[in-house]
Amino acid sequence: MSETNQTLIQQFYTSFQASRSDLTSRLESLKSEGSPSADVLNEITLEISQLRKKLTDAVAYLPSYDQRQYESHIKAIEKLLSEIRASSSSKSKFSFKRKQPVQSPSPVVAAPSIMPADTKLSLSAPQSSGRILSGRSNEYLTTSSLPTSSTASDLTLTNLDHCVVNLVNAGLVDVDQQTKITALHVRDVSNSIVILPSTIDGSAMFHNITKCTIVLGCHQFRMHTSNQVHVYLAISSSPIIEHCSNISFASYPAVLCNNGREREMASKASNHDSVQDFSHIRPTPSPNWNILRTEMQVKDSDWPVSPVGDKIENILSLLLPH
Amino acid sequence: MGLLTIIRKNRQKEHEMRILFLGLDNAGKTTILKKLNKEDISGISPTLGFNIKTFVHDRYTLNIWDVGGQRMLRPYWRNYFEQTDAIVWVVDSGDRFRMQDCKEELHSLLTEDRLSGASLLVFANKQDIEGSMTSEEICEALDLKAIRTHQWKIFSCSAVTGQNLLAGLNWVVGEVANRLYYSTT
Ligand SMILES: Nc1nc2c(ncn2[C@@H]2O[C@H](COP(=O)(O)OP(=O)(O)O)[C@@H](O)[C@H]2O)c(=O)[nH]1
Ligand SMILES: [Mg+2]
Repeated sequence: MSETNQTLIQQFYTSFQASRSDLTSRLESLKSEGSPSADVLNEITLEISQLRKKLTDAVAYLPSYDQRQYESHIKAIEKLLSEIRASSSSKSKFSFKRKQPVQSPSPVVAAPSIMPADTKLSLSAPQSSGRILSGRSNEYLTTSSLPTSSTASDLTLTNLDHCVVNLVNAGLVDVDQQTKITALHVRDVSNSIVILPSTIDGSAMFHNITKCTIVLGCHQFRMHTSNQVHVYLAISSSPIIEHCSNISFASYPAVLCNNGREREMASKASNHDSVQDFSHIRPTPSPNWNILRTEMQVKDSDWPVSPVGDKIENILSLLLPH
Repeated sequence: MGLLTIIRKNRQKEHEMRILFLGLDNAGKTTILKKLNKEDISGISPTLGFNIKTFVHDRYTLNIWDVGGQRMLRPYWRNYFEQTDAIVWVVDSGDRFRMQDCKEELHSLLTEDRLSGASLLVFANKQDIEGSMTSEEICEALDLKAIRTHQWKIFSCSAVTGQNLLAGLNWVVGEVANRLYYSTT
């Protein structure tokens, strides 16, 4: 944009704003005083049309975005004027004064017709066809606990208490295929250890997690309304917490990786320490999360990577945050 | 030539539109925009605040506002409503837990005066994830049929594969163009 245009735009802005605030304040005071004279209203009408003319003359150099702003400001002034006219003409109903012609109203916009979806509606309520582990307690859960029929690539864990969920190292030949996850939703999980691969190819959402230890690698990590969680995380973007407290982050333990790809993901995606707390948008550090100190981390040999039988309660009380 | 005609002519030269991308966090708004703009979509961090993108589509310059969807940020959405020509509401089709939340946010958004008249494109995103809800299921879950105040349409899409993104964008740009540039009122 040329220098001259820039100047013109600036000048227009200044003069328009001056007229606008002058007109608006005069109209506001007429409105509060009530029954303004026809002469005063005519004068204002004239000034508004002059302002319109100025805008018309300026369209050559004003960006279209600004034009629309100005246009809507003028409309607002006109609306104010016509409200005052309407109320004053109704008050002076029985006088013999000729009514002022009312500003032509803005065109009535027809109510938009309904645009139907291009597809037929199914009547069934949405139901997850995906892989889901739900409503378990005091159990050791592995890939074999997942519904085998599902081909879904998203994984949902919900309503788990006092469980160990281990979806890595199931000793299966085709581990990668079995555990390929492109989206993860975890909700209402407490007192549990959840071990997931470092290779989740998508985002992970955690909601309402209490007193848990969670291990995973993903593209994006978001945790809402959770408390007292240790997160071992391989991630390349910034993890987000919101409405959380007592969350500690560490890197993904290499010992839990079963192949080269998992190890690569675990080692290169190390942004677990660049957490953003959306509940604490201030320059001061968030009190709601910290880095899990090494001595607080689960020891390599302690991870419950194979079924623990009836020792689950011991294991949980040993390894969970306290 | 009246003022409106002149303004309309002038707009036809510049063809500018303002589009607001909204939806819950994690829906894929930022990813869709990057994909449409042919940018790299790996390593996107969740949006704190907003991004503005300007890009040319067909003969139009789109000013797109991508506003963070976290609950904390939703009250600030209204700061971006002024002069909006279209809303693109992005839905994570795999997020069954938050469909109700998603529906409520959408319907309350549409009661905003300053958005009246804006066209509404609903993107049922993440269709590449097996097990996602279909656009029909989402149409029902969000009760789109109850919307009488805005022109709307739902498209299933995937920000990762790019499937249907352009079709959706074409629809919404066409809607706005008809309203702004070619209407005869
Ligand atoms: N599989 C899949 N993942 C997606 C898709 N769109 C977005 N994502 C992922 O969903 C997460 C959230 O995306 P983002 O664009 O940040 O969401 P926003 O909060 O709405 O801006 C990221 O991890 C994306 O990689 C999609 O179409 N398919
Ligand atoms: Mg975003």
